Amino acid sequence: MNLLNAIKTLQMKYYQGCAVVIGSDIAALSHMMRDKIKQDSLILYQVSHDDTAKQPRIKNGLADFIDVQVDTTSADAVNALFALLSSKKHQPKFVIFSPEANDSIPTLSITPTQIESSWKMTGYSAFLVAQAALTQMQKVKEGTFLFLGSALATQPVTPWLASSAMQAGVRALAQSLAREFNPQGIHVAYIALAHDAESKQAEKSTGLAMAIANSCWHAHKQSKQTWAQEFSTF
Amino acid sequence: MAWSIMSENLNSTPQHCAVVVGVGASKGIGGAVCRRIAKEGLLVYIVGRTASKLQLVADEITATGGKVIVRTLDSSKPEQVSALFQEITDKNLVIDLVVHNVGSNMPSRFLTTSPRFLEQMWRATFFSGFLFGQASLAVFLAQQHGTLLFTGASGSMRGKPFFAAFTTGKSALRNYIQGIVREFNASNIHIAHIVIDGMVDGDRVNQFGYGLGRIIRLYRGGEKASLNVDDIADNYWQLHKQPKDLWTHELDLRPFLEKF
Repeated sequence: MNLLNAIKTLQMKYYQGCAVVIGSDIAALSHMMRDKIKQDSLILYQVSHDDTAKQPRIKNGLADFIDVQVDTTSADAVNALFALLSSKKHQPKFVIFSPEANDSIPTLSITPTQIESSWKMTGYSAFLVAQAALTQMQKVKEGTFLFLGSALATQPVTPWLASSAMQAGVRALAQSLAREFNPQGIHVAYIALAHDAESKQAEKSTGLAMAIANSCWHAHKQSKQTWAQEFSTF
Repeated sequence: MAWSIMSENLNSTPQHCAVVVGVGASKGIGGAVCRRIAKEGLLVYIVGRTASKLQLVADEITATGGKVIVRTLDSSKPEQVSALFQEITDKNLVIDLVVHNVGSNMPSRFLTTSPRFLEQMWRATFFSGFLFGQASLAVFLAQQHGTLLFTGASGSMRGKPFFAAFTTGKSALRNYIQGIVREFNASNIHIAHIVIDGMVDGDRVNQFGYGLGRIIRLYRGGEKASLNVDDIADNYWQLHKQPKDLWTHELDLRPFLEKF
């Protein structure tokens, strides 16, 4: 590492820490996270997926809460988001990725187009966000990256096989990243939520959002000597 | 695209066949499975990307009296997969067995993995399997029988470091297979996932890196520590022949020296 990089890395250690809650249907969860992250004096980025936002679109910019829209299926858009954080001297210390839940589809009716679309919104998007976030975290050897997932990842259920398969892919991605990045001081974990027909509606409820926020915060605050890689909340 | 096959085309005395997709080198899992099936008298559709490799396998089989049809296609293209199954049913052939053997692993550091590499890996490991699964199920439901086998890997079971792209697709495919097993088991359709958990003594490994792969394989124990492709093929055939009151849905294969 040359001297300039060393100085830059040192500077990053003193950047303002931030949390990023990114994905679909995240408003309730990020609302619940807002109180928790104050304990660590983190700024909160609430980043909602919007496929028209090819560049980060800031809706509200308060001192400790920034509401952004971005296309999480675009590599350029996701990279631009994390470049925005760097430009503001904000270092991501805690990232929660929540992919869009898929609708139920009878197995033989799943079309190639539907499965490709589902892939874009889950596995592909998870990869892009994780890569951009971990690139920043790896520079300072610190951070927590959580994938919010589903019990479907290990228990596929008809007629949600498209969603089940995509969740299984994200779960495996999380495992692989945990094995690659945990030794570098970055905590990567997968949180499997219960799946039922009403799950997405339920996620918007205050009680469940609080429970998920508690699990996420607990994961973030685990000591390095006792990191969990997977949380099953069903 | 709708997944429908015209069952009325099947006549009362049709010829039976098997389809093996993902055939490459003669000394590989796909090639060995083709030879094993042909030995039992079934007509084998040998399907893969490279015509010259397919022809080598076909020549070996026909030299011993077996029957084959060679088809070159990209197994991640929906229209090509659909056309293959349409051709088979148009010929009034009954498909007894479909083997999906597509997708090879390739390590990469996560932070330098390009989205394009991830996409290509997903299309080979998951999407191709999904396309063949959907097409096979439509045929098997019309026929009221069939065996559908998928080649899996260690990465289907656990996400290892530096294999993020591979394990994302392979694990998704395993999950999809588990789902369709539960849904279509009672329809007399036998679906199984074979986990190849070790280094295969095949051309893909032996010829990797101008022979470096072979040296690594020998260093790790040689033949004793490698999966023999003909032995693997035997297991595929035994799965196909299992009686319906005792079906296996996942089979993990490894050499006796492999740590797991």
